[in-house]
Amino acid sequence: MPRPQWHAPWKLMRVISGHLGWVRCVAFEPDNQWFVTGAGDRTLKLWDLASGELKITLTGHISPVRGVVVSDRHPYMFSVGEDKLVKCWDLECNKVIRHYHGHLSGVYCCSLHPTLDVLCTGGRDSSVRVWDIRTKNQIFCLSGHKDTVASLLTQGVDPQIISGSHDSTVKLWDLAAGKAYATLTHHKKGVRALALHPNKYLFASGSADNLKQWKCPEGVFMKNVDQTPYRAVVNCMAVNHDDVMVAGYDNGSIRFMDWKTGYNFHTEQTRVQPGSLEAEAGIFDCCFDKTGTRLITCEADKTIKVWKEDENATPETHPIEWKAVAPGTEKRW
Amino acid sequence: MTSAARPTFHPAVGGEDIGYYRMEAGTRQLSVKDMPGHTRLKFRRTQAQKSQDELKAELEQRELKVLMSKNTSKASSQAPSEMGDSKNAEAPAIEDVDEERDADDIVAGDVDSDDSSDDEDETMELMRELERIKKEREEDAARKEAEEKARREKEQQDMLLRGNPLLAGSSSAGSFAVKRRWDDDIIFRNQARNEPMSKKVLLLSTFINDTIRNDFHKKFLNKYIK
Repeated sequence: MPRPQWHAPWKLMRVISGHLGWVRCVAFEPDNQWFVTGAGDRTLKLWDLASGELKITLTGHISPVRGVVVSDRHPYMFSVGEDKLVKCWDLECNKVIRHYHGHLSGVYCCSLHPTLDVLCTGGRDSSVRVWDIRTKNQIFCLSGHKDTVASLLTQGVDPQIISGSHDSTVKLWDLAAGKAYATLTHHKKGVRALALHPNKYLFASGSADNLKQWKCPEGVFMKNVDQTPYRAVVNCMAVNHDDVMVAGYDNGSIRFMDWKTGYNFHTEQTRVQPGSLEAEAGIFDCCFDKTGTRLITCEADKTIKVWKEDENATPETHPIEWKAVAPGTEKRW
Repeated sequence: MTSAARPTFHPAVGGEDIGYYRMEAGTRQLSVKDMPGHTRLKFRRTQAQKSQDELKAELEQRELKVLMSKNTSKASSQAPSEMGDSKNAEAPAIEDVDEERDADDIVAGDVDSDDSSDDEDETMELMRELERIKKEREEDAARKEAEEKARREKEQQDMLLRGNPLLAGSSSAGSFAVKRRWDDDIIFRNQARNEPMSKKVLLLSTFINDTIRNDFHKKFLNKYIK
């Protein structure tokens, strides 16, 4: 491992409590003014980023909300839930204006194409569905996974759709043909988390056995992120512009890693809010804001936590614990 | 009935030839929600994409503003107490003024002395009234104390007579059983025993992060279900 880049450790900045159930998903608005969270109390809540105040609560789902995404180009927000519903919200009047009907079971993840007017959703019926936003019609039902699709990514270049599933595979899809052109079978456990690098042509996938990095067009395996695998179920991952990669785990730990080397420079164990059981520590989703300076985590103790970098930290106060390994003796996979 | 929602090892698997959007022999039913509607997409007004630095500066500015407004609101809530302090600080000055006035009054009293006999009568009456009220209060207090003492003595006597469960019969009141209902919750009991019981901490420690175990819901159930 080459010498890792130094990053400041992250610290808790704010705890927002307001949901009445597990907070399952979070998404940011393109202007960075507010963010939206979906929770097990079947509501979506919009929060002001600067003050942490609730702006509005949206009801309409009849089961936990599992995924939410805000469009960059339209004043629309899309939410999916375990009630098989895929909803399109108009943010100018805060109403549901479209439904996308077709999933056979709960919908667990959604992603919006950055350039086409196309929405992708994946769920427990082990299919990825591609929807035309305007006409509400299903364009494709991408089948091939053998188990629940737990994570989904879309990007403007190939592979336009990447999906991770509980059958422990990652599939790269050709959107034009509606077919998978690569299946990555390196993982041993279900792939619950996927993350695109914001400015490199790479992506990362996370499952309970390891976090892995891939090169984009063909899905060439780059490396395992954790040199000593961390034994916990990973639920979410996020990468910011400064090459900080974050993974949130089911046991409430958040690990911050340097993207290039995979060096884990900081591990945070989240503390449950008073009145909760100790076992209620768990991270369900995490997301950087549009600047990459704030991290929002959605937790099992029904809170939303905001993290930021520690300004007082320097390479002297938080040194990198790293030893050069003689070439040729590195562990290989 | 679909079995999709049931905990099964094999939930329904989606594909092109299954379900609502199947390719051949599709359903003839059309969901109301699939009727054409909102057929034009809205688009955001195109605006110059803000750079990362601009967004960051904006966010910090907004956070600062929130912090400032919070501080000012705190300051305004503290203001009354500060006012009180300032009053106390000014109090000696006011007293000085009173003393001066008293001196003036004495001088004035020498001038019109014929009103003084009426004033003396009134003050005497007031003093008598005050004495009476004081006496009544003392009597009240003494009576209460005596009652309290009697009650305590009686309690002690009861304890001596019936407090020992070994001496009492099996059917008597004193038993070893801990008084707890069968549906009592013990998970959230005594969470904050070691914490100082300031008001804020008390509030926090009574908050239970569970929608059916919290105090609100318990109160609700007691009101309507019991």
